[in-house]
Amino acid sequence: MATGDGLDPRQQERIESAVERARSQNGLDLSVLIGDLELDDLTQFRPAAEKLHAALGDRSPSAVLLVVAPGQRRVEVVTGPLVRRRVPDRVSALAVLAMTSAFRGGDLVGGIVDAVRQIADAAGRRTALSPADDKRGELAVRADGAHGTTGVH
Amino acid sequence: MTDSIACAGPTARSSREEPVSNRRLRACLTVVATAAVLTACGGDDAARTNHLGYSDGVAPAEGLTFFEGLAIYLLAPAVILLLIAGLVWLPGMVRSSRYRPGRGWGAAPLWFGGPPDPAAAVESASTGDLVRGGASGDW
Repeated sequence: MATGDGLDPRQQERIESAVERARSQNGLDLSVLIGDLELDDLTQFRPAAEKLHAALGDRSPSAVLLVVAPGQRRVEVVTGPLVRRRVPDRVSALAVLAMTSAFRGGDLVGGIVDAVRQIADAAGRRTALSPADDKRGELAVRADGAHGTTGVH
Repeated sequence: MTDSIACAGPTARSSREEPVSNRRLRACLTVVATAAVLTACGGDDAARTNHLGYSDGVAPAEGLTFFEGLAIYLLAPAVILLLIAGLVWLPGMVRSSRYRPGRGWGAAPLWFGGPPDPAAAVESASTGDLVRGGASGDW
């Protein structure tokens, strides 16, 4: 399978600033994961995304997670129980629609940034959260050179 | 023949102060001089000694050689064409990474705003009994 190039620094910057804006202007704990998950079966995508959401630890109940798998062409929005009133499933579905239509046209970053903005706008304004500890975490690369596991096995 | 016509002209406007023969002589001289000047300026013989340059179409020039013709009529347009094509394609090539659906994705997963140590966090994560919401989609 041919491999994508990943995101260049400018594209990462755009996503980062969109996420930061959701935190600072909307007080919304939002994170975005871009990458394929290691799955035997794509039906496991939702459980895998929920596990990733659980990996946010204490933040999990009030966090929104966007999982975008460009290679698997799947996108998932996971919302914690405490944030579901601010970000109802209807809003998530609209954001997913915005993303899939952008991704189909090859605009990965634009779709993500728009979706983040949509969710943040729908969530309204709250007191700002402190900036994320780790703005951009790359999952560990294993010794054999394969990319780190992100999914459920 | 022209002379005789020109010479006959002035007789129509006769003047009493000057004898007719003098006026006729002067008129004839004028006509002859004018004709001489005109002849010197025009005509085929004059063309070769014209210091102002060649008349249209008579400039001697060497034809194009085969390669000159090739360069002017094929090479030059081709170069211009390639230049324009390059200007069109260049921005797209500079824009390094563009996602194309169906081409796969080899880059390591990136987590924006994620936990400080994503790999460890994922390892130790358990879904628990939280009821999570959201939406999914594919393309």
